[in-house]
Order: sequence, then structure tokens, then C-alpha cells
Amino acid sequence: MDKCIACGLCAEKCPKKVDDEYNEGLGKRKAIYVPYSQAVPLKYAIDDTICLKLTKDRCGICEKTCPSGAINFADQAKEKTLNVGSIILAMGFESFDPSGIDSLGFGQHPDIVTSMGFERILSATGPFGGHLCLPSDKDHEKAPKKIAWLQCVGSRDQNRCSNAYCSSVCCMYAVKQAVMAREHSHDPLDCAIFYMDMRTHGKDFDRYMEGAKKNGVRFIQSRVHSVVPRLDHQGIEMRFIDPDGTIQTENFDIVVLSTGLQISAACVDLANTMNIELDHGNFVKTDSFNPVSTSVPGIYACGVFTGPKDIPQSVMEASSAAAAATEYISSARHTLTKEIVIPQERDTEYELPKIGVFVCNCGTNIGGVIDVPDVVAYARTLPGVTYAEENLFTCSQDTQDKMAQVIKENHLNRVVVAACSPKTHEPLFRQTLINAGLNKHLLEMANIRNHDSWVHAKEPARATQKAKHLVRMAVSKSMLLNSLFETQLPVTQSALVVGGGIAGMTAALSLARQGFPVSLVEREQNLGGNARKLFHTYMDEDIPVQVKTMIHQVNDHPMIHTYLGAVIEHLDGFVGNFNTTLATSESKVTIDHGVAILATGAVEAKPDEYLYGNHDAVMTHLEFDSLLRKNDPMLDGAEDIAFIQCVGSREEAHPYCSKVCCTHSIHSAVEVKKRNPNANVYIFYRDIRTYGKRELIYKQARDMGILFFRYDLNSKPRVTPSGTGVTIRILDHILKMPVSIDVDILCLASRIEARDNQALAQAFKITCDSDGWMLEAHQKLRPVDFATDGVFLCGMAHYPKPIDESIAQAKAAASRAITTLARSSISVGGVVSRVNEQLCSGCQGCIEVCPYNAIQMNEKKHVVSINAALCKGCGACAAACPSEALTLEGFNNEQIYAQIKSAMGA
Amino acid sequence: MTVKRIAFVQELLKFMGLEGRLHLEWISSAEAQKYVDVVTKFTEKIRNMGPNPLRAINEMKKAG
Amino acid sequence: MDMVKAAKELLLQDKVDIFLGYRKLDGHQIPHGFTKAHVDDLDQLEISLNRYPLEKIACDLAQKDPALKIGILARDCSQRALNLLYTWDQLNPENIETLTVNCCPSPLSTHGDCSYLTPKPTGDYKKAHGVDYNDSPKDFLANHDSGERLSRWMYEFQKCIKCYGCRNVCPVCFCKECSLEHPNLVEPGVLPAEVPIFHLIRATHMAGRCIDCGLCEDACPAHIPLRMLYREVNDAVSDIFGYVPGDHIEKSPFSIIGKTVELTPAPMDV
Repeated sequence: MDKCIACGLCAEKCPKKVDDEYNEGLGKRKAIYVPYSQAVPLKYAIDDTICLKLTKDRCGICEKTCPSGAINFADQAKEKTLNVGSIILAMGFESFDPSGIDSLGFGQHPDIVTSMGFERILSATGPFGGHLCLPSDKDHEKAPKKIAWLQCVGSRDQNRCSNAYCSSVCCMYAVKQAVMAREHSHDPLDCAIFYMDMRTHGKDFDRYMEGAKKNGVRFIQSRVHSVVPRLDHQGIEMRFIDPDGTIQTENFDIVVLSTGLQISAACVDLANTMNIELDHGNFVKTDSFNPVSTSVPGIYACGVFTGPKDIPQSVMEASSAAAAATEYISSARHTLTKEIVIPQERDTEYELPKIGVFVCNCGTNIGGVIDVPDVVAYARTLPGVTYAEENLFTCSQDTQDKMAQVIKENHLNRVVVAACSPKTHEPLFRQTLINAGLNKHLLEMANIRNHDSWVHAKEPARATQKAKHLVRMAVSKSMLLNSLFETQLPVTQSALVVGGGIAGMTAALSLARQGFPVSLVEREQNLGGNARKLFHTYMDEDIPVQVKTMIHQVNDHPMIHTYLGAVIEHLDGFVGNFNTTLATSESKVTIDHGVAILATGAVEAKPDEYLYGNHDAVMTHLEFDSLLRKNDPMLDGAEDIAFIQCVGSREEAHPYCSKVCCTHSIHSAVEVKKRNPNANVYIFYRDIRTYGKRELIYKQARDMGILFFRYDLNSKPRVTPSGTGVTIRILDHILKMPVSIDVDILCLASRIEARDNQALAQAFKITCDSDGWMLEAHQKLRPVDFATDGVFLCGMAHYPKPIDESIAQAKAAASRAITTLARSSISVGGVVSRVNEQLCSGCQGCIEVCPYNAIQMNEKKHVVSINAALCKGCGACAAACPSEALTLEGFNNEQIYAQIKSAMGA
Repeated sequence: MTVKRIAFVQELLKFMGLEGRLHLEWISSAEAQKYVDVVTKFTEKIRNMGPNPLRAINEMKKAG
Repeated sequence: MDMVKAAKELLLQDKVDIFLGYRKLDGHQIPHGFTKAHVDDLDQLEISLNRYPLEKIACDLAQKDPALKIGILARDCSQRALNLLYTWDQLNPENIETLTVNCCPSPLSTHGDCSYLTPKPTGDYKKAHGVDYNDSPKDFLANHDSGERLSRWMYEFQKCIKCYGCRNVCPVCFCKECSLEHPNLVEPGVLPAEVPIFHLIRATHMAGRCIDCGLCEDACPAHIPLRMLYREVNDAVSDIFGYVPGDHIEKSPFSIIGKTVELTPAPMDV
């Protein structure tokens, strides 16, 4: 493993070819292979089920080919014992295999693919290089004109498979694939999605779906009966019942089966070995208040293994599991940390440039194309170069040691490595410079592999010429490199949590349990937030009871200081060194803290329709929950109860889904039915969005006889008063007839609305989106971070979400916060921007272009200043400045001009 | 920001009679084939447009 | 004269420390800073066709003393220049008092009182080989093919004597160090400047800034139709971003990073 440099020669020579499972069998791979191009670590592996050497003791050519001797067939599997305090299971899922359902035709025709297969077709690294074409076409040229997606294949289905749950992610990925397919297609492409309920409940998902609709993606509400390849080879025929109830037939070129997520047998086995309790869907059994804890203490789980979920939710859970796993073993933190001894750095400031050039052959990767000795000879002629050599592998350990030696002996003060990509190898070579006593920024790389020998393999002479150009450019830039320094800034190892609801309390408790002092700020006079007004979760956990326990834990914890009735008045500082002034009615307090977590929650909007506020029978969910909690006599007298969904959500003014209401309404409906089995319960909905395991309660509700009526935005129910109750009129979709229902109670699933976070946003330098939700750093990959370092978010301030997700996100925020808090200091400097105050006119053109809020105006001097602790070195400010007052260290204008000039001066 | 600047400069170059010589394309590091396609297409396009007219003007000037 | 009275009031009531206007000296109207100590000088206040970038003088004064209260005789273009300088934080609107002269045509004054509005005569040779001062950028683009556009502009640019007059007179050029004197971008000591890069650098820096006062064109000793060039710059900025510099106190699209990308790169036409 350590020796493999991923040159790929072994795979080139390997004679054994099989279907590539990563490309869903649409392409081929060798017996020695890298599973996929982003694999970490980037090392080749041997498939022992097909390797000729391992199965038949023949061949073994890879062992002879490997230039670094990384292949050892005599290697044996070794058993290792690790002593750990916690275990996290993040074993993921497998995509449902639709082969068993013959009515869907998978396996009968190459143009019937799974969604995973289609994902590979669209991918630039996929079997067709990202060209949208028919898999059945051998030349990969024929483009499809019509594509259909079939939703809920292997989900929400107990007849054709046993997956009763909803897979949560397929609706959104189908919309995404449809939009992307249209982008990939040169000709107009017809895309149709056949669905039962469109479940686009995530942040900004509904907007995306509406955008797709507007651009012509067709959404057809229908469960498709059968998919049959046509006998005349003219595409694939689909038979389905349209929303009007008539049977239709339509032909498509490609049919994508939106296959669901399921837990593999191997994962089930492991869970059984560990005695971890699983639910009916084989997912780890968790509860709303401990979403990442398994039934075995000390073992935690995250990702789809605990229930179907998308990327942001998986990422949150992962951080969350990390927090949970360390909460009870935090005393062990840093006990296994080893100090690195760094040699004294040489001061090179007043030395003339002495540049050393190391040209790598990369086995035959570079040397096989480029005349490396010629490049080395050329490098020796360049100004400033006092040393040049070639290496078989510059990155190998022995060369590294030798390089450090050469640098010391020749008193080199700049190093140019002409090899591969700085993306993968710069850290390694920087370490070599450090070991040789040089500043690590005195390194420049020329990529003569990826940018040269690989792409110009057929033109060796010109490739050698280009290598010389690249080396010359790197040398001319390196001449102007200077040492950059990093300083250590101390971190205040305590946190501020804003908001004392479930999310805020969870985050505070998690941090406190890991030994970090927390200041918890709540605007109201008591903790608990919205949860105080709720009844039960969909898993029947009593919310007020749980919240009470949580409040006790917060109040009893010595590391948590709670400020009630307090608001943030002023905030100064940056990551590691915040200083906040809180104002309560009596006094002002100033707090120093290293990080902040924003958990300010959201509110239930007051509806302005359906007689709300004008009739006692009409109420919102929180009001209905209060009836349930108090066993209100109003409930006993109620024989007919109705729920209207999407009240104020998914409309033009508020085009988002409030996410929790479908489950909430159905759970309340079930509760009513349990208390009074004779009651008639009606739910008026647009799409039922009981995603994931919540689907089971939807099924339960239907089994109990709760009636569901679908409506759309153009034909909303009409509500009129009738005595103590109200009458609801609606056009029934199936009967095509007006229906009128008298009910005693009408519960409105009112929108969840963002709070006005303007002041907070300004103080913390964060942004809110157009719906008012706080905007995370990256919607998929950094769901609890802000672009501003040291500030994190969780709970409904981010987007409406149920309790389990709020808690997962809160623990995730704590986990992310600890990445800063666990360090006593942070490194500041290196590749960051610098201001030349003499040139700055104070026009502030740079401030708005900085994505990290790292630039401030110094009013006194009328120039800007950079906070090196926040600067990420993106260079946007340097590009925006008209006077070159701002420069990016390590990429300053002189260096770049030198590089350009030397490129042009051939 | 890049797309803003490029859109403007493309407009300006067109006004100067130098259209088509500046192009912006988003290519991720995973899209090797796209990179090759775009660079090849653009190189061919520029080659077909003939030599840079400015070079002739500036060289003529230097010559006196 | 009302203007004189108003300016005197500003000074006498200490609303401003200095009032920038024009005064006749040796037969020329030149910019003058009137002060309370010599308030009667204001009787010689001149308003005429002559224009200087008084805002630029205001900027220089504000640099030296940020608290200085400045009064300015402001034409329509000065108003735009001031808005732009407020936007870019070069002047503080609280420290500026303007006395406005309505000089551009409007419903109130149908004739323009400004050198900028008098059509400049374009000679026949220029018309045949160069760029007409009074041509609109859109017409220029429509009436000449790309080769001709290039040759016409190169004819104009090659006359440049690199005097930097366009920059020096520009009321919205405030950088402490100018890219046009950057040795890596513009080779020092080479005349004429490399075409068209010298002029394109300036044109690019004018994007989202030029307030179309026309002073650069007036100042150019080589008769390069700069106003026409920057009007194209303004047209492009306005067409793409809907932004008109100096119209309001509003940041330029080039100094704001948006949350979403609405522009898409233009496809490559082959």
C-alpha cells in the first residue's frame, strides 16, 4: 500500500477484464483496478475472485510491471485488534436490485437502467464520458429523445418487495437527473417522471422541482403497470393509468428505474453480531431524541444505516455520531497525540536565489514520453538554477530523504519539482522542505505529468518542449517566492449557543459533556422553545416529558451557564476569539468565546385563510397538540375531524415545503382515531411527504380508515362556517365530483416560518436565503457550517425539520465546533491576502467579493485590512482590486506576471 | 465574478472587432474529456480565424 | 445672481469650509476654491461651457482632511460623479453640499449648456478611417464589419501619445497607483503604447465607473473618441447588469459577489 504510486501500469498490462460494478456494469475494468477515480487512498487493488494469479496461479504480470515493487502476491490477510472506546457504524446502503420484478423489464433491454446506472451515464468519468447516449448503441452515438423515470422502485412497496418505507431521496434525484439529462442533450429531450407523491421536502428542493416543471419536465402521477421492450426494437413501451383513470401507452428510449435504498445482508449480519436492534426495514433502531445511538451503549450509527436519507442529512448525522461517540470518552482526548519535532528554519531572506530543480520520471509515466535528461539539462541553463537532477520517483521515501540532503549540501533556497499535481503531492514536498530547514512556501511545482506526458503521449518531442516551458515558468516564479509565516493565535475554549430550544440545548449539552464551558442564551424566560407546545413524535415519544428532562440536564450541568431573557447586543472578533455583549432586562454581560452555534429556531405561521381566527373550530397544529396534551373535552365531542395540508407552504409567496406537517397531521389523525375509533378523520393534501420510516405511519393511517383527499393549488378546499363546526368543499380528483364534508374540528398544517434574523445575521456576518433560512456554507457537504469560520448552525433556523433531525444537526454543530475548541491555538497566515496600505484607496470593492468576511475597513486610515485568521487565500479580493493594493501571498502579481512573461518568452 | 468580467470583456472585444477570441467554460477537475474537447475546439476556431491582427500592427510599429 | 448668493450663504453660515467653482483669471475660467476669508471673490463666480473635474479636487481635499466640508458647483455630470464617489467611499455625502446647475437637456431646460452637448465636428479623414465622435456605439457596431471596426479603432489608438490626460482629468479615477503605469502591463518608455491593450485596460477599469461626462474626450490631444468608447463600455454594463454608474448610490456589479449565478457563459460559436 505504501509503495503504490498509482501509476496505472499494472492495470494497463493486466489481461483480465470484467464488468465494472462502479459503472453499474455499463463499462469494463481490469482485475487490478482503482474502484473509482475519487478513491481514497488512490491505490490499486486486486480483485481476488478473478485475478488469474490468485485463482489459477498463472500470469502475475503486474508484479513484474510494477516499478515500485508494490505488489506482493504472498501477502496474507492479517487479523488486527484495536482497543476503542466507541464504535461508529456508517455502512451505507445498497441500491435495490429490480431484476426480480419482471414487469419492469430490467435486464431484458440495455436501455432500461437503474437510477445508479443513469447517474454513471451522465457522469464525465462514466462509461460514455458523460455523453448522453443509448446504452444499447454500440458506438455510443445515438442520443435518446424521450426518457422516463419510474419512482418508488423497491420503496413504498410490500407487494413486489418488502420495503415498506420511503427511500426519501429518489424524487429529488429523479428531478435532478431529468434536469441534467436535458442539459446534456443537444436536441430537445422529453423527460417524464412517473410518481405517486413528489417528495421534494429538502431545503430549496421544491423550488428546484418547480423550475424543472417550468422548463418542461413532465410529472405524471401514476404507478406504472409494466415496462416492455418493443419487439420492433423501437424503444420501450410503458403502460400506465393516467390521473384521469384511463389506460395509456407511451414509448420511451430510455427508462430509468428510480431504485430505492436498502440495507445489505452483510450489514444486517454485522448488526446481529453486535447485538444491535434493527427495525422492520433492517435500519438501526434509534429514537427521536438519540438519533445516532444504537441499542448497544457505545455503538453509534449514521447515514442511511439508521434510515433512508440524503447527503446533507447523512453528513449532519456523521458529525453528530462523532459528537455522540466522543461525549463519554472525552477524557481520552489528545492522550494518543504525538508531537512532531521540526528542524530549525533557515533564514533565506538575504540570500540570492539558489534554485534546485527535481524532475520526476514517475516510473515511465513521465519518462516514457518526455526526454527527462534533456529537461534536466535545460533546467541547468535557466537563471538562478544551481542544481538539477532527475528522479525515478521524486515522491518516494528514499528520494525525499536524499532531496533534503541535497537542499542542505547545496544551500538551495528555492525548490522546483517538475512532476505531478500539487493537489496530491504539494503537502509531501512541503514537508521535505521543512525537514531540510527551508520555509515550506519556497516550493513551486510544474505538472509535467497530468498536463503533459499523459495528454501528449503521442507527441514525445513536443511534450518534451512543453515540459521545458512548464519548468521555465515554474523557475521564473520560484525566483520571486518568499518565505511565508504562520503565527499561532490562542483559542478561547468555550462556546456561545444562541437559542434554548431542543437544538440549542442539545448542542450545549454535547459541548459541556465534552468538557467545554457553554453560555446558552435564550430570548424567552424559559428554555424549551417550540417543543414545549408539541405533543408526541411520530414514534410516540412524549415530547414535553423529554424536553423537561433535557432542561433539567442543562440546568444541572456545571459547565453550562444559561442566560434567560437575554439578547445579543454586540459581537466582536472572529474564530477562536469572539467577544459578545448580552443584554437582559437588568444588566449587560460580556462573554469571551471561541465559537458560536446559532439555534434560533422558527415559528408556526398564523394562517390567513380557511376561517382561521374567525371560527373556534379552526386551529393550527400547535393548538391541536395542546388539545391532545390536555385531553380537552372538545376532542371527546368531535366526531368529524379534518386536516388541511400545505397551508401557506409550497405557494408562490412561500415556495418551500415545511417538511414536518404531513407526518404531524397523520400522527395526530392516528391519535384521534386511537382515542375514538368511530371518529371520521379526513386529510386534504397535495403530496403526502411521509419520507423514510415515516411512510409506515401513513400506511397505518390508511389501514385505520383515515380518508385522504388530494387537491392541487388551483382547486384548494373551500371552508365555510356551519354552526359550531365548518363545512369543507372540494372537487374530488377520482370521482370528479364536488364533495362536501362537515367537521367539528379543522386543523390547519400551517407553514413553518423563519424568524427575523437580520440583526443576528449582521452581527455574525452570515447570510439568510430569500425565505429567511440561514444559509449554510455548502448545502450538501457543509450543512452545519457557515462561510464565516467558527460559527455553526442547527435546528429550524436552517430549515423546518423534525426533532430527530434537529437533534442530529445540533450534535453535528457541537462536533464541528469542537474541531476548533479542542485546539488551544489556531494557525494563521501562510497563503493569505495582504494589503499594501500605500496603494489602497479605500474604495471597498474587495469587501463584498470576499466570501469569508475576512476584509474590514479601517475607517481611521481609510484603507482595508485583512483578518488572516479568516482569509482562505482564494484571491477574489486581489482580482477585484483595481490598484493591486491587495495581493495573495504565494501568488502575488509579480510572481504571476513572471510566470506569464516566461511562458510567452519562448 | 469571472462570468461577469468575461461577459463584459467579450462585449468590449466585439466592439473592437476582436470577437470570438475570448471564451469561458466551466470544467471541473473530473471532466477531462470536456477539457480536451473545449480546448481542441477553441484551438481550431482560433486557427481558422487566422493570425492575430494585433501582432502585425504592433510589430509594424516597432519597425518604425 | 442667485448662485453667488447661495454660495456666499454656505460659506458665511459655516455650512462649508470651501466652495469649489470657477473664476476668471487672465481671461480663462479656471477652478477656484472660494473661502469665507475671501467671500467677496464669489462675485467673480463663473458658470460657462468650461468644465473641470471639481469632484476630483474635492477628493484630494478630503484625502488631506476627511472632516473638511466642501461645497461644489455641480453640473449634472458632477452629480453623477459625486454619487459614484460616494458609492466607492471616496467622499462622504455628509460633508458635501452642492449648488446645482442644470446643464443637460431636460423638460426644464431644452438646450444643453455644456461642451459635451455640442456635436464635435468630425473631419472627413477621421470619418473615412477612424471613429466618428458622434456615432452611437450601437450604430458603429451595426454599420462596420469586424475587420473594419478593428482597423478604425487601431487608427485612433495609434495616435495616443500616452499623456495620461484622460486619466488625469477623469473625476472617477481615484486609485493611488494606476494600472496604466504598471510596468508589467504597460511597458514604460514605449511610444506609442501597445495597442489596443493600453486603451482596453482603461476601458475595463471604467466598467461600472464611467459617468459619461466626456472630459476625457475633451482633454485628449490626439482626438481619440474616448467618450464614444466608454459609452460602449456603459452600454455593455447596462445591457448585461442593468447598472448605470452614478445614477444611484449603488455598488457596481463588479464589486458584489452574488449568491446565485444568473449569467451563463456564452457558448463557443464556431
